[in-house]
Amino acid sequence: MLRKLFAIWIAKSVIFIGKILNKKTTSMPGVLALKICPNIIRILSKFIKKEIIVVCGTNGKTTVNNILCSFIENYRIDNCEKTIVVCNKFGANMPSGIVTSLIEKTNIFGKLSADYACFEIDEAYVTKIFDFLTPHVVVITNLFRDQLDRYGEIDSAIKLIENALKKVKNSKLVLNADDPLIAEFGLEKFVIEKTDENINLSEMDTESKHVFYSKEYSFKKKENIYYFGIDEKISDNMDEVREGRFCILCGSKMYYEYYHYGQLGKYFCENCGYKCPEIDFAAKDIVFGESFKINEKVVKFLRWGIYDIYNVLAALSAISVCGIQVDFLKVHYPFQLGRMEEIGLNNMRVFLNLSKNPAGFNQAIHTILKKEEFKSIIIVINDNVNDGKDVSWIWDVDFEKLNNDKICFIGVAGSRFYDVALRFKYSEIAVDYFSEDIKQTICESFKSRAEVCYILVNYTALFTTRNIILEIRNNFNKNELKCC
Amino acid sequence: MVVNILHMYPDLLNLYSDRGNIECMKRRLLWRNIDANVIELTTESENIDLNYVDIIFIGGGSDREQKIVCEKLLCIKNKIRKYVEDQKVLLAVCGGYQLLGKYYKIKDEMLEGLGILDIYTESSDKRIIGNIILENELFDNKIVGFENHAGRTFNNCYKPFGKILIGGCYNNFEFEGVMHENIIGTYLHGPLLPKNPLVCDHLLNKALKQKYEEFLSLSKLNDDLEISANSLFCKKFLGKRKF
Repeated sequence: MLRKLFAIWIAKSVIFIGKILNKKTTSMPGVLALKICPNIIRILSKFIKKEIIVVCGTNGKTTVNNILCSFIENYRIDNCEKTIVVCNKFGANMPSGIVTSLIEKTNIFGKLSADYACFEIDEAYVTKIFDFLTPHVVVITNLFRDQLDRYGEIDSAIKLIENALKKVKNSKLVLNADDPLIAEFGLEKFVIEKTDENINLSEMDTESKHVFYSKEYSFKKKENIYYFGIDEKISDNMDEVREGRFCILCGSKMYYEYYHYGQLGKYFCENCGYKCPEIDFAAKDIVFGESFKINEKVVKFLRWGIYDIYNVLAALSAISVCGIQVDFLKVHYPFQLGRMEEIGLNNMRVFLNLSKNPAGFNQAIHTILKKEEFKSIIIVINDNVNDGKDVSWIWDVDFEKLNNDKICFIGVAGSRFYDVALRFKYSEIAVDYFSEDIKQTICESFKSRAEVCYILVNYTALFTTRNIILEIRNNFNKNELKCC
Repeated sequence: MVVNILHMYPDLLNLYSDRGNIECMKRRLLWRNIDANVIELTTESENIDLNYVDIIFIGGGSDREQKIVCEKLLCIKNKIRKYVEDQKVLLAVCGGYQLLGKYYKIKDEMLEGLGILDIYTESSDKRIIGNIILENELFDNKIVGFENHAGRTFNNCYKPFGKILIGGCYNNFEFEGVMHENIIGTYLHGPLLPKNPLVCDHLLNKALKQKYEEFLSLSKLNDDLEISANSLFCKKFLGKRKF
């Protein structure tokens, strides 16, 4: 008991000091609190009166979590004035970040008063956190190759989540039906024995007849499983590196009626019968920048990315599963740092977007190219610990698409700028400027005739780059025409 | 002149951006006005005739994908053997490198390899993950890359691809990879070739010499960007080395 209070006081003081120094403290308070009281997540999460929702997956965690939080905050329980939600809004998704967000809503006597909690959790920590916290709802957005140096391979990430889910068997799962790597979590498999004639032998030389797949399954949705998905073809097949080209259950080739992006789409395996399951929350009639429908209910949709649809869809599905009644027409996009964040600079508009893996990058490029204006593109890639030390994934991004006559400037910066510059050289796309110096690169871009500047950055480059843009804006405001 | 490059199973072994190696070989040929023809052997391909192939590249994949590839490769085992006996060029990275050996033992499971090289691999619980730098007297520059593998490959017969300056951390191995006749087998991703243009040219040179008797040497390219990338990498990571 004393330990708990001590932990809370220390953490609260750190948060307080952080506020005075105007520094973001999203994880340090939690690190200290966990050291003093390792059980703190269990103790504090018991105070949550209603549901705890956990968001997991490679891309979109922070956005989904923020949409969830803003929706629930606006939801009036029994006409009470305010609904209190604990949420790790800024994406600090390791145990320390979760503890910090819990302690922020706890008073100095160790009492936490909150109705709901929404947490995004890093895949590598879900198993551990589920020892201390039992969510009512778990949302899984998607799985893409990301930071392979941390997880080894995407198969390891799948195993991590699979093991975590075993610990929370009574939780409701909200799963992306369009992702073959995820949908399987919600299905029970029954083996149907095949006869010899049905066995698919390799059609190549048959020096050795190794048969590696011979099972066929029938599937049944497990209890407490809810699927969301996009139920119409919305994009032209993009030629990109995909996961899950081969059936995760039997290893034979996966077929697609259509792709949305990455391995997401309407898939089926001819060999074992695995296919996109029936969708509970289906997005249809999608008009980018206007609206789409979820099960015939109209949702306001003022965004341009396919991933934006998934984010809204995942959040609204989870909210419906919790039984929270909300008006779909009032989808409120909470402001988010560096998620296509627009920063106005004199007569130049700058968009800052966090893109930290091939799927995220390809989607960002796809979304940018939908707009007609003349643009400059800047790519900032660092290789700090939080980024993953390996940057080879940039070769899986379709930078070739940037060979487009509306793009008048390409700049490359960050600690691994040479790697990105080489990537462009071997695609025979001219880079107008490259340097480790982010500010210099941004300023060079202003010399082009672009009307809009898109800056795509990876994780640790985000805050540095954002501060640089704000600094340039301040200089502009002070009428210092020279920005650099 | 034309060089035919065969990319083996890019639909399965596409982990870690290894397609960058193909891109690198292709461009470095085209920039010298030598034609490059990239052929993809996928799981759906019909028969393949290796007589027309000058360079084979095999990349890495997850253990799951590697098992599938293994089955496929064993079907054309004799063809690959003949190809290698003909002194042709083969570059194998990570999973592909493991498959060249006699076997890959994953826990209790034995994956039969092609047996082209007298090496073998055993998986370990601890993955080796991190930046890696090698030294090979054939090349003026260091060889830089990134490694991420659970397998430990034992090479007792051949010259290594390089002496490890940093990397290979858990096994205390002094050397990395295999460089035997016209085969290079290594764990280096990154992808390997763009930041190590000398290694790329070494392979292209071998392939062209093997194919065209009249071929003398490759013309020089402007590699300032490649060399700068390589040097900065070495400066950054070799600086931290403990002697």
